[in-house]
Amino acid sequence: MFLGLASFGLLGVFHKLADVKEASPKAITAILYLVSLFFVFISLTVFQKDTPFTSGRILAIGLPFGLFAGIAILAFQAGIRHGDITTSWLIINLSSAIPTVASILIYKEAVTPTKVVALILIPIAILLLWKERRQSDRPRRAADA
Amino acid sequence: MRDAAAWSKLMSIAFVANGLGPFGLKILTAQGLSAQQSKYLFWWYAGGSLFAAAAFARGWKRLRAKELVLGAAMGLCSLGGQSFTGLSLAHGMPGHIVFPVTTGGSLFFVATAGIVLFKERVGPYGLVGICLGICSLVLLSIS
Repeated sequence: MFLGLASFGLLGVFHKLADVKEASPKAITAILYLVSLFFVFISLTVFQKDTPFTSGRILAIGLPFGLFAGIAILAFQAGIRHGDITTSWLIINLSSAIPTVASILIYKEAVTPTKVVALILIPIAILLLWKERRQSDRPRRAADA
Repeated sequence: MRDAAAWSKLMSIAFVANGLGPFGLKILTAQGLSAQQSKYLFWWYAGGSLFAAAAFARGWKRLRAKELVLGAAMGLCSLGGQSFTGLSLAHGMPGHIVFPVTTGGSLFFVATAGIVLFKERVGPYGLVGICLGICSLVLLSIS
């Protein structure tokens, strides 16, 4: 569990490091996905003695949703150039509100009080982070003037 | 040059796309195909790879060592995070402990690294936003 925590945490730190080192967001996204794909392939074929060949239904779900995730990583890596990792990393993580809301609307998943509180807090947090981002430019703008 | 408008636009795209990305897993489960998660994960990464490789199509000749190393490290972290979380669940660790610790903990980890390592300054709005955001994600992961 703590290795999972460290891995996700380091992923965020590497996003910032890539920006500091002026790495190309497109290159980072491409390598990130190809390396992950390679290791999933190894895990599937070597450890699970299986093949990636499967039904069209899995392909039809996996490919477009994976594409969305690719767009997300590229936009995030490009966006971090214009903001701080401290706040940006939280924004991308708060997106888990989307599958939660979609599950409630499409699959009629139960709406618990805890979920309601979380879904109310998320837009408030985003608004505050957006305000923080705008605020952080003010001293620079004043200095420029 | 840091641009708040560009940040808002790109973070909005990342927010929506990143939110849609994991929803495929919910559809997979709803269609009774959850036993094929490993194959699904392969095609999920294939979808991301196709997009990313196409976006970078003209850049392969200019690929630098630092991009290769950082991208590979990030790929391993992404996969490691998912695998280690899955392993702790498979070893009987309850989800209401695993998800809040990995989600809330990694957010705290990154926020601390941003402030300590990268000397980012966070104002009062940011601090309250970070606290509320971490609370909401922990609540969402236990609900």
